[in-house]
Amino acid sequence: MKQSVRESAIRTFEIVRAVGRVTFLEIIRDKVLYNIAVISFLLLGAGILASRLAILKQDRVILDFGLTALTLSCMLVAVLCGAGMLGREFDRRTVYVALSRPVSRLQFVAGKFAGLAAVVALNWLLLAAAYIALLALAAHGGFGQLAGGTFFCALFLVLAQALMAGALAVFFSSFTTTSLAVVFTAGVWIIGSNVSQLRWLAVKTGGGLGGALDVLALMIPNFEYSNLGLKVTYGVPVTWLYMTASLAYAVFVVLLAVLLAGMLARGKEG
Amino acid sequence: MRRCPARASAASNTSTPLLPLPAACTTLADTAMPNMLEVEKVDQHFRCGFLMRRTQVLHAVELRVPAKSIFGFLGPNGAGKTTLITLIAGLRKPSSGVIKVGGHDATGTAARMKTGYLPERPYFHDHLTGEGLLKYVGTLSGMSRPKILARIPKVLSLVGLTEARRVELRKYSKGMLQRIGIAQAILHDPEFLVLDEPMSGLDPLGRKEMRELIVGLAAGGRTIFFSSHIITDVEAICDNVAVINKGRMIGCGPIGEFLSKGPVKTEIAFAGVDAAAARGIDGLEQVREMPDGIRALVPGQEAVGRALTQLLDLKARILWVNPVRPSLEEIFEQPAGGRRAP
Ligand SMILES: Nc1ncnc2c1ncn2[C@@H]1O[C@H](COP(=O)(O)OP(=O)(O)OP(=O)(O)O)[C@@H](O)[C@H]1O
Ligand SMILES: [Mg+2]
Repeated sequence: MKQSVRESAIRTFEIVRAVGRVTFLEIIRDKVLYNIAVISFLLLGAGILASRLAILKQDRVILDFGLTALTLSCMLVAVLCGAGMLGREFDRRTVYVALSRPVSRLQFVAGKFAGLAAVVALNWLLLAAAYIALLALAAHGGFGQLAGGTFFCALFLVLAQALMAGALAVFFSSFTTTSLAVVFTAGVWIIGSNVSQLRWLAVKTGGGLGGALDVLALMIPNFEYSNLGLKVTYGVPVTWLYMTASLAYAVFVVLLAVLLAGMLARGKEG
Repeated sequence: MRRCPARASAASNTSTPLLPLPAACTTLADTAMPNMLEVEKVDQHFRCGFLMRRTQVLHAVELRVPAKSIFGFLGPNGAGKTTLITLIAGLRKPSSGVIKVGGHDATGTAARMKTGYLPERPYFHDHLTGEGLLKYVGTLSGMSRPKILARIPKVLSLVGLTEARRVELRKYSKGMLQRIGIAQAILHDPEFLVLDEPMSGLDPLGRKEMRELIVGLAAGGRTIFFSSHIITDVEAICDNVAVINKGRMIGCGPIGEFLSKGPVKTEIAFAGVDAAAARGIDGLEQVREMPDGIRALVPGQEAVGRALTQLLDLKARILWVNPVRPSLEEIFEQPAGGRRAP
């Protein structure tokens, strides 16, 4: 019994790795990725420019600008590449090669997500390195003073946020078209980044509508947990507990989205 | 060993009527053999369009494929061949009915391990090389890495793609894609091969090579089930055929019986007689002038001798005499004798 569980775990791992590898190579060749990369570097560059124009707190401006650029870039990669992945497999019927083998849809979708996650992580790593280099060069007050523990926590949370968005894009694309999946994911991200406002709105409205807003605030993936906001700008320390909790939350959202996508992708080919 | 009933019984007119359906479609030959594939009362519905209207694509399809045979699955466009094949490959469950491969449910792991599947108009991740695709597919089939690496060169040389193994699939020609499709289907050495139109899009030489490949694979003891809408692809290599039209099985059995059901015609090519005189000959139809002589069709087998004698009397030079296989459409069009019209 134990043996067979172990074996199927190994097998799942092998499938996820194989599908992930092929997906990674596929996305890497995609033009979209390079367009996004160019935009991100431009944004980073714009950060320096903006900091030159700012009169006060030039370093803070670079810091904020860079973090926004990094977030935006990782989000774009995750959402734009993630939303099209499943649809493309089904449209081009490449998926049949996989699904006619002893491979479950869930294993397949998990593999697709793994490939996407690898691309997002690579993009994150490269941009974060560029960003750190930029800070080190451009910061007047010295890098160490500007970028403390909170800064690095924020970097990791950007990755967590992007992976969450990627998983959501895969989830939406398992039952709608690519473009709708992009729209839905963007919508969820925007609302999910403002859950506290939503709660506040719910209290203000009250009644049935308020209740509905409350439920929405509860159900929607909360992106605020992985957004440190002004804490980064002013270097306010974050606790380990907070980090662990928000990373665990991200993992939970990713797993749930991929699981649901694996179940829903069934209906995709009619 | 592997006899070709096509040639043997196509000529003779001792035709037993096609098995009337919806009786179970067991093939006459090889009844001792266990069945590799059993399809029982399979219906398939699709919901399509804005209103999600239900359309039935397969109607109570019955089929048995004996082990170690080559089985041709004929039907015109839109008949439901691909639909049935995706069910056999275990890509989806039928709306109702049972499909068993080697005694196991087609969607289960055991059946999938036994089955190799070539999709229709195969398209693979085109950024992979031929070898890369096979590695990917091998892992998905649950093969160990050393086994995959040992098997790849064998499979590639079998389909004749050894030279192209490092080339990206986007640079493959249609024929090469079809062949790498076969390679990925046989990589895990399945007993049962399901090929959806393996000859489509191939030139005559490619078709011939594909036929030889299929016969070679069958000689290794595999069961092969393939679809086509061209009789000549099927008649040369199949033991048995099934014909589907509009989602209903309209016949099943050794191929010769099918061909003898169709209108048998013979084409005669000759020279040395002018067209007007040729048109006067009793029994010649559709007389056409060609640069090298005249072609004409003779319906029925008895008329061939008569027409030839008359031609020889006119001092005609006979270029060749050739039987013309009925096309699938002609088989469908003929009045239903012994079988129900679909
Ligand atoms: N996923 C689907 N949803 C709705 N209808 C479908 C679906 N797949 C097939 N059909 C319908 O089922 C019918 C049979 O299609 P199928 O592809 O099985 O035909 P075929 O025999 O393979 O034809 P061809 O020789 O052209 O490949 C068609 O009318 C098609 O429109
Ligand atoms: Mg088809």
